[in-house]
Amino acid sequence: MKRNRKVSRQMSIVAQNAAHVAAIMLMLFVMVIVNLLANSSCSQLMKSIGEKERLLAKLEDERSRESARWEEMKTPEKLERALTRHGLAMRYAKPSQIVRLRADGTPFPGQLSVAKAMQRDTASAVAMSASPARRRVASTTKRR
Amino acid sequence: MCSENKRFWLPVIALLAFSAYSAQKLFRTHFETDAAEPRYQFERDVPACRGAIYDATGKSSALVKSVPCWEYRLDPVAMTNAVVRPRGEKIPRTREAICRSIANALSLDYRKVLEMSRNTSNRYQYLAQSTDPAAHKILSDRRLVSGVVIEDRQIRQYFEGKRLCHVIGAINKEGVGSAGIELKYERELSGVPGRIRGCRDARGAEIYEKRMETVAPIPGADIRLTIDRNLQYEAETALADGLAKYGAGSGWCVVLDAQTADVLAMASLPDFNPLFFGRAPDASKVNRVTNFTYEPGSVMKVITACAGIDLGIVGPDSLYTTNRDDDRYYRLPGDGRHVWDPRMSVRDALVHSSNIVMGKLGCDMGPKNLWNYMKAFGFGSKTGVELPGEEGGILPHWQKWDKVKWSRAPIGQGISVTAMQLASAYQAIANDGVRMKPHIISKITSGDGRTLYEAKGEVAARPISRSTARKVREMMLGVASSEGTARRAAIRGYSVAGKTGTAQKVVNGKYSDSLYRATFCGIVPSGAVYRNKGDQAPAQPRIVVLVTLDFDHRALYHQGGNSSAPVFKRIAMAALRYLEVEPDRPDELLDFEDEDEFDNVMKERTQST
Repeated sequence: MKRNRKVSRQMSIVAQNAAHVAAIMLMLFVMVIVNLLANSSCSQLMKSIGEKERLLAKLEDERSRESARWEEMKTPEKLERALTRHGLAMRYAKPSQIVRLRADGTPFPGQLSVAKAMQRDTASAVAMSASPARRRVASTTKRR
Repeated sequence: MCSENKRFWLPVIALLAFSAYSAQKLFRTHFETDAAEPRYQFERDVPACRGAIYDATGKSSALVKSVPCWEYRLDPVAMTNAVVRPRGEKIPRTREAICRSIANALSLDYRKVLEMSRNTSNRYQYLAQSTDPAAHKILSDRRLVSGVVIEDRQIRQYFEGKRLCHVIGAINKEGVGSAGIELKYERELSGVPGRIRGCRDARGAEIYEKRMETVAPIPGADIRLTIDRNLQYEAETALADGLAKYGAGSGWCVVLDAQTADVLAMASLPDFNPLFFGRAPDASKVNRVTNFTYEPGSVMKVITACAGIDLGIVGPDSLYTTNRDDDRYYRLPGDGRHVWDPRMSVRDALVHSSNIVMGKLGCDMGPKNLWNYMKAFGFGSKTGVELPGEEGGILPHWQKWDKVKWSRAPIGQGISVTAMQLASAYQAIANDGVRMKPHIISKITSGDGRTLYEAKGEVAARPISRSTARKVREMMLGVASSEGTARRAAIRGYSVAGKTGTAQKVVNGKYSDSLYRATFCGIVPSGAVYRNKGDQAPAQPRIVVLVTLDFDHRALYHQGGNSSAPVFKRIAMAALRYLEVEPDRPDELLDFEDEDEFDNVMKERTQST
């Protein structure tokens, strides 16, 4: 009876160990699968990163080329040619066309544009006062 | 139970750990051997993007930039072997059809491409470099074209073409600077190349997943110039027109900021195309503003007058006789027919450009004093502008001067200067006697945005006092008037302080009677005129413009006042308008309706005087 008990005990140990080994094997298998999956996903990710990097470099090159094209079109010579082609007589503003104003809206003293405007005003005032006929004409035009 | 479990588990865990470790070792060795296979591994440098050069306005307007492009080469052998069929067609494309596609895409001569395709002994023949994506699409389509090898390259694009070529310079085929800023700042512009270590497949294409090392390249630094591309355009156009109109062989001009000595424009003709620098003639490669010395002629009289007044030997109204046979002086230079007064003030001597009076003044102050002033004005040494190959000019030591030179150096003979030195000296007069170091580089920014260099106003010397500078500027006003030698330099609404110079060229060791260099150097506004009544100080000078026309054959208008002065006027007018400089003689603008009317009145006044 004692002997049988010993055998059954040994049998249970073996069964228990077999279960453990099976569990370990299963665990290893799962680990391998997980590793494979992770590896594959990493490879995919790496591939897509590579693709994105290449796309980025391509777009960067394209942007650089496009900005260069714009730079080339903006040179003074090309602009001049384009203006001539379209019949636009554009020039830098003359000193008499520039009015510099203070923050409160009054013009800086000694400006040519202001002097010219004042000269015009004075001239027209003189002209108005000199000829009554003209003044009449001017007032009629104004009424219209 | 517990000890029994331990007895079982410990060896199992140890076994597992050992097997994992050995497997790892084994596989690692295997992969390492595989990766180390030289057939699959490669290592290559990634070229750094060369830095760009911008004008004074900054990032918005690049003058030069490196742009990615495609280089196309023709491999006639590959073209022969390939059987290319267009979509849906059964007949392969003929060699002629392929060549026509290539020629059309790259705007090349069809016959030339066809000829290249027949030369099978020469593989990888250069076709073109292009940045056109449409051309790339056609040439990379294997159904349309075969035998074209495409490589990614970088092309240096010079947006202004020939303009500013002497300043910017050029690069050679290896991409190394060989002239101008490209040469001087090669280290900054070139950057640091990167590196890639990886594996490639059987076809030679890189396997991106197996890249082992990537060291990104550091792009080159960007350089910002003080030159404004719009002003440069105006200056170069005016100079080219002047050369054509007056028949000069070459010419140069420089525009400086009167306060800071920043170079706003610099032109030298003849010029070259930076893309074909190697093929350009040597004469056109010279930047005549900084790398060429010449006898300045009468423009040096201003320096003599400055020295005389600053020393207190003379004043603007001190009188001299225009008698050449004066025993006190040895071999005085002659005067032209334009000088007739028996007695002449220093002011008039400047206005009429009298050689005799200036020669006498030079002799009176002595060679040592004159030499010292010339040195202080920067003659005989480099100005330090950031361009390669700058010349220092020739100014012999005063102890080596013979008695003839005593009277010749004051009128600009027997010494040689560069245009930049002359402009810098005039800048000192414009800036109340303070000569600033001329600058052409405004800022250098590294590829990662750090500022490597920023130009700051640097005082080079103080050759004369403020009062002397003001007196001389006031004297120079007369030159660009109806009485002076440069009536054609007068600008409506602005006062011009300048001086003409018509220097005879030396041919076979003698001064030529037919070949001249005509110069005009002027300061606008002069800084000697009060804009409004009651102003505390005269209007500040804004720009200094120097123009020289070099006549290599006899020309009708070879004088500085007739040829260089009108060019000066055109450049100065454009610059004043562009820089929005307020006129210091607004009355003239009110009195005269336009520039033509002003010119006619000036002409009439000159004829009457």
